[in-house]
Amino acid sequence: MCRLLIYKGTSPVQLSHLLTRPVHSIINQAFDSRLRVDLRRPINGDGFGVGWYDSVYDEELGHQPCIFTSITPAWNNVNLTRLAEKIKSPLVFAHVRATTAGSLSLDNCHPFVHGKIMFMHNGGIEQFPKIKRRLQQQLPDEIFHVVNGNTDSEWSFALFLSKLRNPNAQSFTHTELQKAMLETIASLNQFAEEAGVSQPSLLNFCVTDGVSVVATRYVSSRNDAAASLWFSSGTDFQECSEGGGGHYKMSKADKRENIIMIASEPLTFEKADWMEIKTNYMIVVTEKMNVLLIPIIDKFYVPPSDPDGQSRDIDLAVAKGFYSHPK
Amino acid sequence: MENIPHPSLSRNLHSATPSLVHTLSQEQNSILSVATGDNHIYSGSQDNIVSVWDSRTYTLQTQLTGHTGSVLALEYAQERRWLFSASGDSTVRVWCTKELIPLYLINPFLDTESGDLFSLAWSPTLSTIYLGCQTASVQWYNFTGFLDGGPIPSSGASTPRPAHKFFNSYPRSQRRLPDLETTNGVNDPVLGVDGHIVTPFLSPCTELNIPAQNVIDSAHYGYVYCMALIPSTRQGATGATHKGIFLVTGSGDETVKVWKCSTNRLELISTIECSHGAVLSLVTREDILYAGCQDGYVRVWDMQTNTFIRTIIVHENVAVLSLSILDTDLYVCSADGQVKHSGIVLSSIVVARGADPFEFELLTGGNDGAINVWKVHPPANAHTSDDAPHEILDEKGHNAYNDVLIYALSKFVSIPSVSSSVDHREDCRQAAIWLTKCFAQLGASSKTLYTDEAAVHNPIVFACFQGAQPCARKPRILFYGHYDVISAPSEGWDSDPFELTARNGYLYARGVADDKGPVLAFACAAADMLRARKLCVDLLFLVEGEEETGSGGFVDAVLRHKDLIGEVDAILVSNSSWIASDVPSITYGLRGVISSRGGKDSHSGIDGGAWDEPMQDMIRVLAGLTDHNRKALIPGFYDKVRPLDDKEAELFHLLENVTQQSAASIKSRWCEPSLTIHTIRGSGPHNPTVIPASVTAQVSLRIVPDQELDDICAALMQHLRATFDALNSSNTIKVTVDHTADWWLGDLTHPWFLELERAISNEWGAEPMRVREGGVRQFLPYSTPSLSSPA
Repeated sequence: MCRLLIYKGTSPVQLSHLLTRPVHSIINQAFDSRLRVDLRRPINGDGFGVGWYDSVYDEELGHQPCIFTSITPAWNNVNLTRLAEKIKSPLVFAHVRATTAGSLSLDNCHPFVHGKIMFMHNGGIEQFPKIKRRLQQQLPDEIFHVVNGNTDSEWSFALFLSKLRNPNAQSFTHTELQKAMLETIASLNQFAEEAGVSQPSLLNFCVTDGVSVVATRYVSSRNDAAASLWFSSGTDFQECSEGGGGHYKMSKADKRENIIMIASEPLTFEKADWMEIKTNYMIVVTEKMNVLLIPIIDKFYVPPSDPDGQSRDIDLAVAKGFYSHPK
Repeated sequence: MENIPHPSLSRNLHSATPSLVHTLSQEQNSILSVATGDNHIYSGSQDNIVSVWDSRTYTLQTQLTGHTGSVLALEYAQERRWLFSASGDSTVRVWCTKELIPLYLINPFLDTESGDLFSLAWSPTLSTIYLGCQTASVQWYNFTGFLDGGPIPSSGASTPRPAHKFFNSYPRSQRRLPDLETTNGVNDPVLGVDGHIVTPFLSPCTELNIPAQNVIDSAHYGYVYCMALIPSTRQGATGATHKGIFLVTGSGDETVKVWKCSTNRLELISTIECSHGAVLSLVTREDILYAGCQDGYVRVWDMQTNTFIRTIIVHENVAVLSLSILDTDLYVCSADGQVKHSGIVLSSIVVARGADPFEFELLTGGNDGAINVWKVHPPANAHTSDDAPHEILDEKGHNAYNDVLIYALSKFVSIPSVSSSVDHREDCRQAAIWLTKCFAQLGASSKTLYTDEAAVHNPIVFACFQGAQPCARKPRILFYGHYDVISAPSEGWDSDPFELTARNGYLYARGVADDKGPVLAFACAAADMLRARKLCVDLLFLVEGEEETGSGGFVDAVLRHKDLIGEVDAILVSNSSWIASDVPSITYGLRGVISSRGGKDSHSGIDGGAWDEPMQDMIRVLAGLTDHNRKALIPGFYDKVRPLDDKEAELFHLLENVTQQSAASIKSRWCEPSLTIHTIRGSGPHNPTVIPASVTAQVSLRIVPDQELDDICAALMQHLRATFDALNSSNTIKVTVDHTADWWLGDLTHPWFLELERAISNEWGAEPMRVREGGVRQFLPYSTPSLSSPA
């Protein structure tokens, strides 16, 4: 239903280079999403959110990110355009929404935040009402009260927080976030199984503590493809066309990465710059800016070069509106 | 006096510091990979290009285009003479290094879904190329059965690429299915080294696709940044005692994995946790594995005992981006540009240099766009294995490296011996002293000659290399050169003019070509011949210090020291230009010059019109010097000009082709006299309301064979006076001759000249051009009579 975008860089990026200027920026994706066809509603027009961390730590401001959300369509929000021109950040989460679950309200806009942790979701938990109470029972009171909205995504965030040793900690490691993410997915699978839900869920989750990033492209199925998720890395992401045509290109002037972007759809049409994350893989951006691509090995895992892995069906994702191209 | 280099040319050759030999430069471009082979240096850069440099001359030979992403890794397969290049465009290209043409294009499994290809390793035994991918997979392609020029096995046949669901899609409003006609991206032009647009190489080459069974998914969890083979295939490293072939891969997941290689199979043997950040570089030697880590550590692992044997802390938190090994010496290239780059060192390779088993080069590529060539030596007493592949880089079999020459020259040019400036007088003297000591170290007897008692002029350096044959009378050959240079304002220089910089096959510094380089080149050549006992003449050097300012005191000094210099059979001058940079030339003729100054005085300039104005008089006098065809009107000026003979006419015709200039233009510059008015200057404030009270003009005449210098001088004076007298002016005229130099013409049939031509054509494989020059050298016409020998 939604489109999301993550940026992490060694230096801060002006938000407009991600949100408004590129030819297939997340705002353009909101009305020209090419990898999803929602047969019910063609556009991601149910609000959006952007969350970012400060470039320079300020004791008074603290470590937690700032979040700006709106229920108006992203392309119509003049405040978003203004803010994007004036804000720079080394770590950005952005999300445009097309509601499937939960009402249209500011509380239901991603990303969600708790302390230093920021979270967003692209996908949907199948027959969530069947497992909602089971999920809530798992949560300690403190985390139960974190939830303000009424979406499956936010309850998944709460479940994730409950998997952390201390959700209010000052620092986390990427391995701790990884572990909590895997446990969250495992629990959701378990709840679904217990509740007799046989339809697969689409679980593209993204989480960050402001330093490391963990994102999943996951579906609880061996035969279906998950909702799309791409990434790009390099040393510089700059507009290469004159006159502001929005044609951005990633350059590689070093072995190491200065910029890593993860998105539901590529921001540009430069084929060599973007790679699709394989279904049922987790992508991790470490503290040292290394990208890890880790298979999520459970009963739904099929190795990508296995002939079975080639034939994952996109019908589910297409039907749910997370994939567009016909076979 | 600052920073006069120590005169010693001796060095500790096995010291830890490599010396910078040369720099190959590509402006504003990261050099991400380097490789060598087939007398080439290959560099892969950020701008999608593989540049091919000549490893002997360090000049750019060609650029291989076709990639559409940064060239991240290069690997040379010696026995096939192939170069592999891996790129961010998710392809590997195979190039023929003989013809420098593309051969194959290898697509990883599932096309671009493998992302950037970071690393390559070629196993000659298995005929297999291994790829390390951004998607953390390791893939390989087996070339068994690919014969040179033979048919390509059908299994690798290419299939047309389907339209991409996203990148070839249309805006939703158009409701069209993706096809290959879409133009969503940008096709920005590829720019070459010099900024011109390079057209991508579109010649079709065979596409090879890696099959699914040649893929190890999730070989690592991180990008596979580096790989190496055991036994090592790199120069400078020796083999292993292990049986079998092993592939070692390093990754962003902080591990190194060891795989046992067999035909079309990789088997994981062990996983080594490095835990110091991404493993960015790997090198192996015997059974030892060195892993360069992001945190600035090098982890050393013994394969035989499967243990870490040490951790080298290179520079904490500065990533080790490249490693090269030479015997037991490890060269570590860090992200802070250690081994002296102005940026980040991204790649390196050790390569044998020449036939000498102890000479190696370390090549390093950086994000400053430079490939630096360092001279390195294996550690002292280390034995080098006999089977190490030594390329014979120099086909002529002698030491073309000229190491001493370059080292000496770097010191010599660092002395700013600018003769035109009083500030540099002491520098000039130091240069003379340095050169005298340098000659002595090269095996000559040398002496600093002072031009006169008062030392008004810069000293002259005299040196003599005594030939080998003791009894018979040896010919004595005099080499003339100069150690002074013209000033070097820093504008227009890319590097410090007084620091030797080697770039793209050329050396840059003030004096490298004029004339410190030629002086040291001849001196080093003489030293080489002396050592080889091949010098059968006495070679004398006279190196003066005021050539650039008119060779003041030189003739007097030569005459004063005539006894020391002794008899001379021939004079060599290397202070002239070539007709084109690739055409060796011998200068056999020079014009002479008469430089004269005329002055006029008047009364005062306040009453315009009432007096004969000096400026008007001067213009009339000067106008009388030439006619409308710019021919000099001095009586008898052309009488003695030697007509062009048939042989020279033929030569000039030949030169027409080389220089693209008309024979007539060449002839008029080299063989015809000319008259030039340089300045006319009026006194006073140069204000349009003031009439100058006096006017000075400078005139020079270039003279040629067989004009007599004195006759022409006299004729000029007389002609000027006669023209002035005819004006009946109330002003006065004064004419002086400031400076003269006679013309010079060599004898083209003299045995010395023919011998010189023969020597040059042997060395260059081309007949030298016989050229004359329009300019003037002070030294020749004077010294010929004073030493009475042919030049």
